[in-house]
Amino acid sequence: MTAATDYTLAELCIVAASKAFESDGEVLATGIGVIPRLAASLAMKTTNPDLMMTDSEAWLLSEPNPLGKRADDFVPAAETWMGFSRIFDNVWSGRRHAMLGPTQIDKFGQTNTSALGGTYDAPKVMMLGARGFPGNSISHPNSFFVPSHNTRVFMDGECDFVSSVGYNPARLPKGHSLDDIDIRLVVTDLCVMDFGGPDHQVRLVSLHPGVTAEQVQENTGYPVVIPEEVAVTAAPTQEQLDIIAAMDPHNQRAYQIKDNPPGDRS
Amino acid sequence: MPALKLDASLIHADRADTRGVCQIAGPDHYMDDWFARAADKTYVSCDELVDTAFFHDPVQARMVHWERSQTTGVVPVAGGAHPTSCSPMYGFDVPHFKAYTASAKDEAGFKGYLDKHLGASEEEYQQSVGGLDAIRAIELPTY
Repeated sequence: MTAATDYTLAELCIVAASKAFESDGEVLATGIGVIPRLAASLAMKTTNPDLMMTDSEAWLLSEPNPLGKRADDFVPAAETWMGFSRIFDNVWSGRRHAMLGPTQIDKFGQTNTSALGGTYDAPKVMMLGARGFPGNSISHPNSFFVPSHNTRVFMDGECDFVSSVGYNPARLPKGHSLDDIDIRLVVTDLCVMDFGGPDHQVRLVSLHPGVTAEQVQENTGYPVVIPEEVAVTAAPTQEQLDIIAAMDPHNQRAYQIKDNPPGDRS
Repeated sequence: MPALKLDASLIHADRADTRGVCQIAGPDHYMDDWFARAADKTYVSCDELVDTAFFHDPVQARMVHWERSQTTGVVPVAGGAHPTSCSPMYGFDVPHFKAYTASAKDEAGFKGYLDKHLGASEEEYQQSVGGLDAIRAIELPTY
């Protein structure tokens, strides 16, 4: 497959994020938000057909649903009832990989989806809440998507509110070790990272075309381990772009990263 | 982690009979069965009160997710899930949620919201949001 030359940064991120799911085998892929959901859909339709996905409501689908309004005669490919309650049965089994976009991610890989600033009783900003994240993060792999890589998201110090478990020995639940925590890929508008550095430090995996390692470090509030050789994030193929377009017929992906920039910024 | 002990659960079902057999006909009953079991008392409002014979059809009985001994009382309130949804009958009211959320920054705050919508009765509440027909016309969400 030859790489396309005309693609958006959102499409590059979708393809990069889909790699998170390619070696997962038969697990429930939960992509929360447009880019993670399209990434999981792309993986299910290409590199990992064993993936399972829901319709975001109550059914497992053997084919992912396109995003947004569908034609009146559209029939979802439901294969199994999967109400909300059953998601928890799945979570405890560990056969799930979720990808979502936390508001803060600290150097331990702990994240915050709950509250910013102020105090516990009176935060400055209330967000979605920790929801299932504590249980998810101790039970199954998780990946993150960050549409704007900056030092407010990747902040100095610890998250204002810790919603998910990271590689922080001081906060490990009783009876657990750091090996129980499995943070996979962190895909941003600048690069792909993981927590594969020494002592689970965040590490640069690939740079998006036209982005430098210095830019990544400047926009991260803690040290990023930068290997000597850093790959450039692979451009989408035309086949991947066609699948993404079919899964996102209303082009919601164009609104996920500010100003919808091109994928190659060199 | 210790279990949360609830004094009471308030649940809205699609249909129920007077003995507390409750049907949730949408694709997901979420954690309503757990709520019913966790609480000392479970009060269920329903869009439609039906005769017990309605459940003699196994297709209908299959959508009953807890036994009637878990239901303390039943009250028929058509449209009673508003502003949330009662799938497959009606969806949730997004503009209403937005107005409610925005009230957090209004001068009048939550009281302003209450004054506008919560009248002396369910009837007054429903009138303030356009009436039962408007509630039942709210489209189901697309995910």
